[in-house]
Amino acid sequence: MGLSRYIARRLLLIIPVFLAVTFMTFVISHVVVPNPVLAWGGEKSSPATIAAIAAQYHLNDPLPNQYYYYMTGLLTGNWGISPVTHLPVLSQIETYLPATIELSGAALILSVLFGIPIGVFSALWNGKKKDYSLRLLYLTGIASPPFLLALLLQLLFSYFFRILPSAGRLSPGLQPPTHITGMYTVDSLLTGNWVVLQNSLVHLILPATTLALFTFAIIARITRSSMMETLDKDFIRTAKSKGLPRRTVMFRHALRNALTSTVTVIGFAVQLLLSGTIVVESIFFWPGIGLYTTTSVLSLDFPSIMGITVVFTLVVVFTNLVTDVAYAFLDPRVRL
Amino acid sequence: MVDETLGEPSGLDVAYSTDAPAYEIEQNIYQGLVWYCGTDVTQLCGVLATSWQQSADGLTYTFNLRQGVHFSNGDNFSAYSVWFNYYRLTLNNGPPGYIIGPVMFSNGSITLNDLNTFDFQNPTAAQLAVMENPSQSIQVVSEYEIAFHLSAPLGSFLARMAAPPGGIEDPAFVQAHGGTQANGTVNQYVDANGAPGTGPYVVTSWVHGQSITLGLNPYYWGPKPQVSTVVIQYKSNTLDAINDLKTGTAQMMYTVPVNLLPSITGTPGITLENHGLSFDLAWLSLNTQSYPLNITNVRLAINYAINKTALITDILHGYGVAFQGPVPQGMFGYNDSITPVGYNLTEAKALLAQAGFAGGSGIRPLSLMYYTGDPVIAATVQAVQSDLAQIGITVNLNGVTQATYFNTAATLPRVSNYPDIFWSAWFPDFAYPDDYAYSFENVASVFDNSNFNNPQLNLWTSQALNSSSATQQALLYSQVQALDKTLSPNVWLWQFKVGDGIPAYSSSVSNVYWNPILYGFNYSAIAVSS
Repeated sequence: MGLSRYIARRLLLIIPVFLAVTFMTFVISHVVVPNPVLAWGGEKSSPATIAAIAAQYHLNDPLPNQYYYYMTGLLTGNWGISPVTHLPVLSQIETYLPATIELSGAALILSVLFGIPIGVFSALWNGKKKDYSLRLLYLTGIASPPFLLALLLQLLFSYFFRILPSAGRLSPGLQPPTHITGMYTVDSLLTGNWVVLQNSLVHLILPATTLALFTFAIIARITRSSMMETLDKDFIRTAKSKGLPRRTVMFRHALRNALTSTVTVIGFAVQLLLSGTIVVESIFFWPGIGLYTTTSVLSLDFPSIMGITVVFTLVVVFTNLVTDVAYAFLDPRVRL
Repeated sequence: MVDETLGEPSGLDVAYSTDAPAYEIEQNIYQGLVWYCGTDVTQLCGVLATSWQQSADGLTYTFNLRQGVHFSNGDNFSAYSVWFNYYRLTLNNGPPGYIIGPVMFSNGSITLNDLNTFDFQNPTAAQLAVMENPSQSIQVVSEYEIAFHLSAPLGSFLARMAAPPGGIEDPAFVQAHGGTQANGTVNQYVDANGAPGTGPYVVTSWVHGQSITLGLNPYYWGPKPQVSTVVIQYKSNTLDAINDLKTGTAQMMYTVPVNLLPSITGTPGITLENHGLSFDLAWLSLNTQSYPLNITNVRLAINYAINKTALITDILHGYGVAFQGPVPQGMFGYNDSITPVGYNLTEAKALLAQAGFAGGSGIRPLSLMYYTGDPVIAATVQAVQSDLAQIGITVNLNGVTQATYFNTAATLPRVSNYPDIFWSAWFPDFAYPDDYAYSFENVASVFDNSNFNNPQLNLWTSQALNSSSATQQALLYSQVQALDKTLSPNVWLWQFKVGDGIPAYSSSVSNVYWNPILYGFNYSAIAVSS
């Protein structure tokens, strides 16, 4: 199948996935949880106010009707108004998403930057003490729950050593840089605001490290396994016997072939990072989609919960698509 | 100056917000006609009003307004602004409407179109005629004089005017940014950005999820605040905020939860606010419609069996006092001579025996509903469970989400599985006894969580609500207090000192004053030394 046909087919498959996910989330949030209108309006709201809120959000309509109103709004760009913050859900997502992209992006960079080399060297030093040390490092990352890691890092670096901030994106009193992308590090770089660049990078260290530890470990592990498998192949033996330099054998021949598995895992890692933001952003009070998810769930903010679900679904679907296409590019034997 | 707090405002429009984080900001950027005199909660002082008169029948309040006051965008403040804001509260009918509700009677001749089209800076003759019509709830008498005509006397009228929904926003700004809508529809722009007010500060930036920055109002009519910039930083983790206070990153922290006080008490350079009683209460509502709690002696036995002193000492670390409700100590209407029910196991057992349940035999397990997530509440209900076990009463604890809790508390008729004992808590909407007595003791109130339908209490609380005589009100509230003690539909656990959290600030901060009706801090009074 040609690439364009493959992509088109995958894009069409988004529709049933999207419908299934939004429907399940809608049912769970509306059926399992009691009427949220008092939580939205405040327990001291008058009956008239309660009735108005219920009418605005169709809470007294049958569930299928509520779902219909929601989906028609979604497809026409109206993702609803948050009853808690009174702001359009879409605008809130636009506000919070850049912070999550910045955090996840930094975590992904850390994961790849450290994960691949560690995986490679661990494979090269297979069975030696250096290998055991590296494996201990990344197995710690896999075994440690993110919330525990977050709290330990905060305790150590923010409360004990006091060398890194414990929460937020900027120090109090510092104003965000001119908005271009919404990512403080990028925007401050583009506008030459070095004070904010430095401050935002410092604030990024702990949450990005916490988020990266699990995915770094997975990438390192898969890279190691894949390298070891590739190093056993005949074409590597041939390359060595031809007298090619070790560096050329490792990085031009072995790593390139081993990376196909790693690329698949990186795509999966993006999804893991996104789900990991829910805990990490809450602990570090990083105002991204993860924190927005937590506060929306706790305040029964149905429109926001649905909007966040849409975003997460789209991210997962598209990263899977990009991963599959990238895999095909890396390995010509793969036919889409 | 950095003030760290938990909880970001839902919005900054007085016509819609009812949450404490919103009030913290609004009371620094908006002003009402009156507010309390410093730390006193029994005396009101004029703010945007310089004086006022009450008619003999208590149905008309006429305010003389301060002249030469401007909103933070330079627009003029006048009686027209007040007229606009109070009719906006009425016609929008948003959540804060419950505070001003009894004040306003429906006036069909004023429409949303009036609010959205009138020129409140320089009204036309026709517009003036509408605003000056004496046959309406709010009447403009002159440019700086306004009258409120009530449908019935309301003893708490002035106290309600001092509540945050009484803050005055610039009408022209509201008109230019979405106007006023009906049915509680939010003006998203004003809610998200605030409106120009007459207060000492303005919102210069709001980074959602992070902080709100206040700067000086260039047109402020009062003394210039010493602190020119205040950053209200939001944290999700209290320990994080405490750490920032200790390291000097922040200079103030709105609330340290009582269960975390040991982590900060005694820290050099940090002051914990301890200047008076708050009006925040915690108690247990006994479902008087449920057997055997419909029996007075059973309720009294429960009251005697719970050791409130131990709860205050062990769980609140001393940051509470016992009181006999429903009116809190320190508020007008509280009778100090009516002491709270003390801890007496012997008396409790005797009352239970008199009711025919000696040793608790014959009493089925009672359910106690509370909302989860608050360690103080969790510790308290467990202690209550232990206390009642000593007189043979088994209590099953039922921790629920806040949504379930609110639905149970604020729904009439009551749900079929309404609990036997209901954890109850309250912070004041305004500093007047009817916010408590009527709410908790009158069967018409949804907040009568004990479902007590006592004709005397119903009558007295209604009479007190609509009395304009302070003497009569004091007598009625005293009678309510005494009867509540006798019949015991509620077990009053404690009245918080300072609040359900304790404000803390660095020793570099001075002139912090405490008023139990204040949300957060009044930044204009504060000074910070370097």
